[in-house]
Amino acid sequence: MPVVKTRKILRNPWVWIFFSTMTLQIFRGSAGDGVIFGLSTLLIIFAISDFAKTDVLERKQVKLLVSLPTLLALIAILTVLPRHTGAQAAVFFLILLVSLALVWHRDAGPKLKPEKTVTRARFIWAALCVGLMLWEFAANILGQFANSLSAYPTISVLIDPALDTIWGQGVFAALWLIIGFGLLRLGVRR
Amino acid sequence: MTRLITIVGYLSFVVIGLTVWLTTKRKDSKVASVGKLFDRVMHHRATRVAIILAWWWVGWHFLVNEVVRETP
Repeated sequence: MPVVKTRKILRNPWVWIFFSTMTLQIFRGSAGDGVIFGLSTLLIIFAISDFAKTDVLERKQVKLLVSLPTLLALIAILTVLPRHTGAQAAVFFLILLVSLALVWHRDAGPKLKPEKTVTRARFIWAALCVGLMLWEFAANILGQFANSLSAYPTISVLIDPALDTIWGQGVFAALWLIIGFGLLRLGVRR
Repeated sequence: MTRLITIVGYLSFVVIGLTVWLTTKRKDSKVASVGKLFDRVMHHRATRVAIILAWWWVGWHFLVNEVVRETP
């Protein structure tokens, strides 16, 4: 039923989170990020709908892709490749495609009611994330009004200089990939 | 001064986050650990896709995007 699907899409918080982020990125003049979040919103809508209800990868392929050698190889590649280059962008697109394929499987049955400990954790982490986002958003807006990014620095402005060194780039790449592999290990088909 | 306040704000979120993370690792914690929380959150495909997209964008933003460090 198309009406039911539309409701399902409109009631999904991720659609609104990504759509709001897209408008925010356009507002702050970052058209590229606006496009990324716009396409992401469409992809999430596609994931909610009943289209493409299929498992993309076989179990053996999943084990190979989310393995320690793959992680170490990717850390090395993202440390050595210079930032802001087409080669690094290509590696990122490859990581995105494989990661999406890894989590694009059918849900394992209906979701059960959460335990109280999980509900508490969800509330605390959501509050922290929203708080941090609002703080950064405020810094961004105030920085634009004051015409100074150093007076009201965003997280990007603070971290970016450290990433110019090979050590900074390597540590960031390692942390980012370890978090991603952790998420994939939780998100892949059991 | 505004720079310092902004940075202290970010650091406060980091400290609170680390405190919550360490507290929830205890066995008798009344709040579920991050692993248990994500294990549950990753149930629906749309959520898995959204979380992976958000994670991917963070890496893209810092390593591939060019960050403007000072107003022109």
